[in-house]
Amino acid sequence: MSVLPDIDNREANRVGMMKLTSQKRRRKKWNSEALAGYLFLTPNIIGFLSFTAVPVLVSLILSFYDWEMLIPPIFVGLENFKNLFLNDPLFYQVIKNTLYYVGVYVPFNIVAAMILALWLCSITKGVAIYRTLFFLPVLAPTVAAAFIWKYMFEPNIGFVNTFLGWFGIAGPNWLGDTKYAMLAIIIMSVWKMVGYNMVIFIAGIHSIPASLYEAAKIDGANSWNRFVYITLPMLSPALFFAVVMTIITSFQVFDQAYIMTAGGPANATNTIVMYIYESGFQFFKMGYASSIAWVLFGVIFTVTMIQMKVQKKWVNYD
Amino acid sequence: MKKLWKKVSAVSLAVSLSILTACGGGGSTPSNTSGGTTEQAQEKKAEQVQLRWMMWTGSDEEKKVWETLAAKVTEKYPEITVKFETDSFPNYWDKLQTQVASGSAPDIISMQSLRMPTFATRGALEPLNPFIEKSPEFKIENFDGSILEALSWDGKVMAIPYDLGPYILYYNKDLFDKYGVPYPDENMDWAGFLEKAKATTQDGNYGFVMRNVIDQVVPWIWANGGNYMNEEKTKSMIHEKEAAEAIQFLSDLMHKHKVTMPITDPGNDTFYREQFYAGKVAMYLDGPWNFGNVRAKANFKWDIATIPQGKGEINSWVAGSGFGINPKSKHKEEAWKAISVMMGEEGFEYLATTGRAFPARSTAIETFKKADERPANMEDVSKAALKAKPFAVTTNWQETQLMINRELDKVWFNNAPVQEVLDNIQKQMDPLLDKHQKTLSSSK
Amino acid sequence: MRPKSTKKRIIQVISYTGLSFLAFLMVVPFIVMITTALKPENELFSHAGSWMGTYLAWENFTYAWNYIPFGKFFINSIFVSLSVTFLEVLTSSLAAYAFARLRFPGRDLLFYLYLGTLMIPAQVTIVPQFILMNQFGWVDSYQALILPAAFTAFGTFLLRQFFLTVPFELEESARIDGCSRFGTYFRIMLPLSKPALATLGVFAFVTQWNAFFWPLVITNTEDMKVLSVGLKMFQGIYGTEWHLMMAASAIVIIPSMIVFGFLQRYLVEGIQLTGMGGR
Repeated sequence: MSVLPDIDNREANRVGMMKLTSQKRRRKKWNSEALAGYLFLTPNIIGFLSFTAVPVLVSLILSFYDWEMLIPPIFVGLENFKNLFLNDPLFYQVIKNTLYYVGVYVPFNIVAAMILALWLCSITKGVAIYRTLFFLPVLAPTVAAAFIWKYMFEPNIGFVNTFLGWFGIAGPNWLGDTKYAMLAIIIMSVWKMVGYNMVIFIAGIHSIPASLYEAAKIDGANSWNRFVYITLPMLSPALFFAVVMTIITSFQVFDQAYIMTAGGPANATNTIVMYIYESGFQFFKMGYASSIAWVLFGVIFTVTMIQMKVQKKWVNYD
Repeated sequence: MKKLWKKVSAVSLAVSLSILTACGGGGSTPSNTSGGTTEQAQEKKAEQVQLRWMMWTGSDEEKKVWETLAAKVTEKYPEITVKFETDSFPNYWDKLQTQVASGSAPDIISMQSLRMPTFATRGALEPLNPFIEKSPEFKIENFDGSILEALSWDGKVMAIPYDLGPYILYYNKDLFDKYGVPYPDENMDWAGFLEKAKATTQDGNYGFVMRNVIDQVVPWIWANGGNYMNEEKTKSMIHEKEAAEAIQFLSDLMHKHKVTMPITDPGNDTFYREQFYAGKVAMYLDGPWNFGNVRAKANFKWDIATIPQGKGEINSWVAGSGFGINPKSKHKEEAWKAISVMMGEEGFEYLATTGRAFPARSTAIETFKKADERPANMEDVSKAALKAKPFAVTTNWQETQLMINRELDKVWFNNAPVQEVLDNIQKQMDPLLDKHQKTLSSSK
Repeated sequence: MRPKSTKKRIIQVISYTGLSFLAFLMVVPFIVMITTALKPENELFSHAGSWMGTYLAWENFTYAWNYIPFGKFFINSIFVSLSVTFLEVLTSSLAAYAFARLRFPGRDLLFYLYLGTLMIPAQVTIVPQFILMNQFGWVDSYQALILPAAFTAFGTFLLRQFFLTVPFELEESARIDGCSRFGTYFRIMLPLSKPALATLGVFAFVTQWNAFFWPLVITNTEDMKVLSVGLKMFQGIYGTEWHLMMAASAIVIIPSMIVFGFLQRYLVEGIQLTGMGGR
């Protein structure tokens, strides 16, 4: 356990309570609490272990095999990983592309979602309508959304270049240009998913007890101070969740790239998961695909662990 | 509690290992949908048998055509019913692969010639020769030899073809008429092609459209006397002079003469077709398998011609699709019966009347020609076939072709120097061909 | 009700104008979707610059509806999505309560395990998952569509984060009043977390409604297929039926909108319970 950071610092919140209980009572409480904990977990964990954990474990095992799917797997040890790092230039290209996507998309999405959430919480009339409009893209099936955007990115007749034309900008051949294709996918992704985090933030903001704001008003705090000293700290668990999840999912970007550009042109939008899909489902190299997936896991896990460590400095559970 | 946790992980490990051996062991551990011995199958003969047949479709009409064909099996053999399952073309392959890997593939497998070696070398298709020999009434000699060859592996027929096609040139007659340009014919060379493409590139229309894939490039390479790999499939030839010239010519069409429509939707496998249907393009390359769709969608007069000729002898490739049998099926005999009905003379007559696919069985060609309400120049299909050969592929062709496509993208999208790109392709292609050779020798 | 100052009024006007502009940009793709769905087929690319075709091709909706067995797919999608949503909200909230409020050995390790599985892309787990389903004999069944999707780590993580923000004191006082652990979870935690539960409900429904790859692989017959898979059928081998796909998309989006509209009311209710915040 020592390698993993403490999940959060909420144990400290309970210290006061703990002090009151005697050593003996505490031990008894522990047992009944632990039992309750396992009971609460049971319904979820049974399904989780059988349908999620086992396949994940199998993919880990497969990463040490050469498995062409149609013939029995052959154990190859670390061969897949060796090839990946030493003999596969495409692997580095897809990592670079994915990092570009994550690096632009995540901050863009989080900041935009936060602004929209705060904005929507500051108005009184028509909140439900605006919230629905901003959430609408999340409701659209990715297949549909990708096709709509392909139509909009068409350089001569699509809406995007028509829109840019209003401001006197000549738009590029978005999807057919190695410089712009990934940007086009990022734009589409932000449109598609900004409502998601927005709703999380709105739910978070609404969970903040009104009494805190009233107290602050009495103390004469202005709206900026209220945001910095009340909203942000109280929202930090939701914000933390949104950041962690957005990073985890955006490292696995696939659907948009798959439908909009199929990884092209010239690998410009080929991402890690796209490459995993191709290796496994088109090249019949499931073992190799699994090894890429576990390298990706390593990357995401490291990033998440860093966030877990850093969160103690800014996430406030109380 | 730590012990419990250890137990849980041990159990899941055991389960996963059993899965690993189960799927790895292939036929040795029969699952619910496959397995069973031939003896059992013999006994069951009189019983009702339901066969699963999976096939890709692109439209509801196509689906109805195949379902009608499946119903013909029950007409002839009341004890056999064929359950038709379908999905779109790209989805079909994802599903087939998953099912083959888990031993639950359908009894009748639909197979495309370009992908056949991948499946055949890995034992996912039953050689059909024993069945064919037992059924002289099936008249295999009526099938087109080139497509039968393209669906054979190691001298054995792996699937019975339902269609075939040499790659041909489709053209929009209305656009040629509008600009007073003579139609393409079999004598058109590359200079003539360029001239016509230039003359039809007007008013936002383009003379030519292509898809950024190697299939579209190969006819030009062959027409110029080159090849993408040698006959033995051991060395790349795409970087050599003839191939490079052909690709340079295509690059010039796009970047220098600007008669090829820029590709604006690289993720769309059918971009070039959609642009032709929309009437915005004068010429494009496709197979006769697309007659039905062009007829349904094109709002203009159109026809076909052979592909522009260079100094080479061959200028077109042949590909097609057919139906094979899952080696793990417990109803192989019935599956063959079903195929022999669907791909029999009557089955083909019916297929031909729908006019959807150029028939692989010669007896049905006349019916097919009549089915065409807006007749295209069918003679050109036969002419094209004379100068065509099967599209040669390897056991890892999917990977090889995607690598080539992505590299060639640099030519189409970035106007990169052709020779540089081709040298780069050669560097990656040779190891892939080595791997192919290794797969071959290990499968024997 | 004192009259608002001019400054406040101006801020309000700017605020609404800005929001409306952003909302317009968000909605444009849907307008494109509807107008494309109403274009005659042969004008898709030639007149795409203009919003409308030469006439409104309402028949596209009829074609789209008949192109695939819409009704059947619809019922399957609704049934599967609702089942997944119900199971996910129920089991995740229980698990999340354990992770957020109770202390037991192995808790943190388990939590990391949960979180870790989110980091493995489905593309490599789909085949083992399929093999598992095949061993159970569940290929092409509702179980196979519902169960693997219902126990994700996502819901547990989401609710845990929200449960952590609920003040301890409320539960402590309930515990002192003799409420059982399940009682505190059911009577205190759940009602206080309505916004979060509604959020998860919407997410679970929408994710399942739009899920594509797993339903594609695990179903074979039309009796089991769902809408998202049906939508892809409009992308044929020989050409995409753009107009029909847009029409079908429009039809597919409507149920999600209804579910969202319905659950919005609960979001609002949650606000009233916990008191209005956010200012």
